[in-house]
Amino acid sequence: MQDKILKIKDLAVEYRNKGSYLRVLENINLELEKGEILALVGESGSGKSTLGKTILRLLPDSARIKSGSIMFKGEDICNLSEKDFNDQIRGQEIAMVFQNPQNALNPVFKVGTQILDVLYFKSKKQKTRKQLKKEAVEILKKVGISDPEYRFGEYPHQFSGGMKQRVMLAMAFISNPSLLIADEPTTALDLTVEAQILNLLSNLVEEYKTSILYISHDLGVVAGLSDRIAVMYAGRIVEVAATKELFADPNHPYTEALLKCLPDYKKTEELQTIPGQVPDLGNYPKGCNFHPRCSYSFERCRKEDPNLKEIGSNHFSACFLNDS
Amino acid sequence: MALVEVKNLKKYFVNNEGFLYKMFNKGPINVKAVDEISFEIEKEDTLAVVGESGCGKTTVARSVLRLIEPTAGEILYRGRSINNFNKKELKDFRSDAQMILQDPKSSLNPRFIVEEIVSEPLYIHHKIADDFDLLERVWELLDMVGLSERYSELFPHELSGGQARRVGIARALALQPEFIVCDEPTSGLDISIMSAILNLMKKLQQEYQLTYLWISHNLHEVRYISNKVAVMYLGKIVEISDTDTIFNNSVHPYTEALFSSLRGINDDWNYKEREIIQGEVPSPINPPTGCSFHPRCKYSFEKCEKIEPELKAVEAGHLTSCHLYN
Repeated sequence: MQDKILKIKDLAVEYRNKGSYLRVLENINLELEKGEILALVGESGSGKSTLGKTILRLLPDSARIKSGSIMFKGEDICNLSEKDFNDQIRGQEIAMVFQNPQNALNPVFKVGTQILDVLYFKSKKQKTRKQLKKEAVEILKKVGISDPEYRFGEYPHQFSGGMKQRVMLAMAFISNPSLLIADEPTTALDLTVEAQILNLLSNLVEEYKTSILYISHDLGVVAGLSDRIAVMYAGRIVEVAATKELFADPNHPYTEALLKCLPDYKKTEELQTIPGQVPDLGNYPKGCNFHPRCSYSFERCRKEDPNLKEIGSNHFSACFLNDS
Repeated sequence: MALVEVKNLKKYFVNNEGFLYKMFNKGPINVKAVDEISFEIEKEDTLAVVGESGCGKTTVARSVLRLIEPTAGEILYRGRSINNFNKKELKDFRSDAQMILQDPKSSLNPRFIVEEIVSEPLYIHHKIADDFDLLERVWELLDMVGLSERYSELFPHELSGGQARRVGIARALALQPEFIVCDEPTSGLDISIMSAILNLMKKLQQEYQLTYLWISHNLHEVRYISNKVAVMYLGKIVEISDTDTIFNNSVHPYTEALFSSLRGINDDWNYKEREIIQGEVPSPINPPTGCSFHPRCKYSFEKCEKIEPELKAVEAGHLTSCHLYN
């Protein structure tokens, strides 16, 4: 099991709300190999961002891990002290890129200064910022920012959205992390800029051999980027499969329904819809979370929780239909 | 006769205020949001306007409804210029042409319940006799968009994004309009809700013979809903044709670049190997000379830098502005 970078086992996360606890993530099992891009897709409120933040301990104080473990390189990072976690893991081994680059950069510091900070702490405060400047300009150049010497001294508001996201990627890759958590990094960007950023990301992954947990709701983006896809619904992972296999041969009724809803430029037939709504956070139905909206549901779905089961090589699905 | 006709529409936003401008007397700054565009929408058609952010899509939408006054140009509704409408005519036009706004939640008044939101246009246009009729009409409208009567008593914050969108559609339908401007009606919605809204809009169009001006940046959705597409870049229409032609035989290099970022989920491709257009959209304050797309265009030659191409027909009903084809 050496090549598994990340191994999440039976993870459950709760939020405190008015004295009681709401279960937002249940029974999460996920493995990530070295150099792999795993996409986490789902509708809003399915818990995909919560999962990403749980790994990096970025959740608010009202959240707690109820049970389960997060193994990173064979070590359980749930039990690390806050100081060790900060020194060894956060920003070093695991980096994160956020949805909105506008809010992720500090508006009152120059972009160059912010990159220097990261380099300074990476050198364990041994080098001065002056010595590092050349390195920082080099990094800006690498992520495709034209005229890097000039841009180095500019403020974030002088950068466009796409350029800010390039800077964020550059900062995330400085410490050469083993795992990058990307939380919808391109949703705020235009089509052509989005393609540029994803192209850059693919190239960086190839160069640094970083694993990526790519959180997204856009199946079109994920189709061209990821190796494997995990589909989330109402706080659970319902299906995990290789990207092509998932699109060609979805097993779980939710995945199947989702793909039928997706408008596609090649599709001419009527779009389908999923009846009902995503259940409220933490207020999930008894049994399989999808059963009230599922057209195949039967007696057992209303009573028991389905677990992820391997139904083909590296194809996991949580549905009782596979048992009968 | 086309239902809506836009002729040489121009909208410049002028900035000449502020202390520093006056002090240095730099003269006004023109932001050319929309620059000389013309198109027609036939009855019961859907014209989709696509383009990246900042290209003037929303400005076109607002000008067509006279929510903002154009700098120059003419907009004809049923052959009559809406810019010369007097108060009475404008009010009639407002009941004929409606808009579905971009953000589903913030376009609803947070202090009104759904019943008040949907019935407000009916009050304003005196379309209702008494309150019993009113509630029945509201229920009928909610039913049209797939919401039960129960929702009429809720406040906007109690609705989900998809439900709020449906309320917005019900409000637009209240006065039985003929023409609806839809400004990115599905942005920010989840896939399953988005498909429901698209199906609803298509059904309503067939039932009530509606005409749509559909602003969007989601090309998959455009393919599904529209029968004509206009591609905009920096305030200009660079290509306009029926949907099939745009998707299969587009000619303008920008359309080509835009559609190369479009892939179906079952196509064999990835971001690593794909050819991607470089650069970003320039600022409309200081657009490039000549063809505004030439700095990013891989086919550009000397003429593109100097002379601005005109929108000309490549074949019947298919217009493009590119020196390669003129």
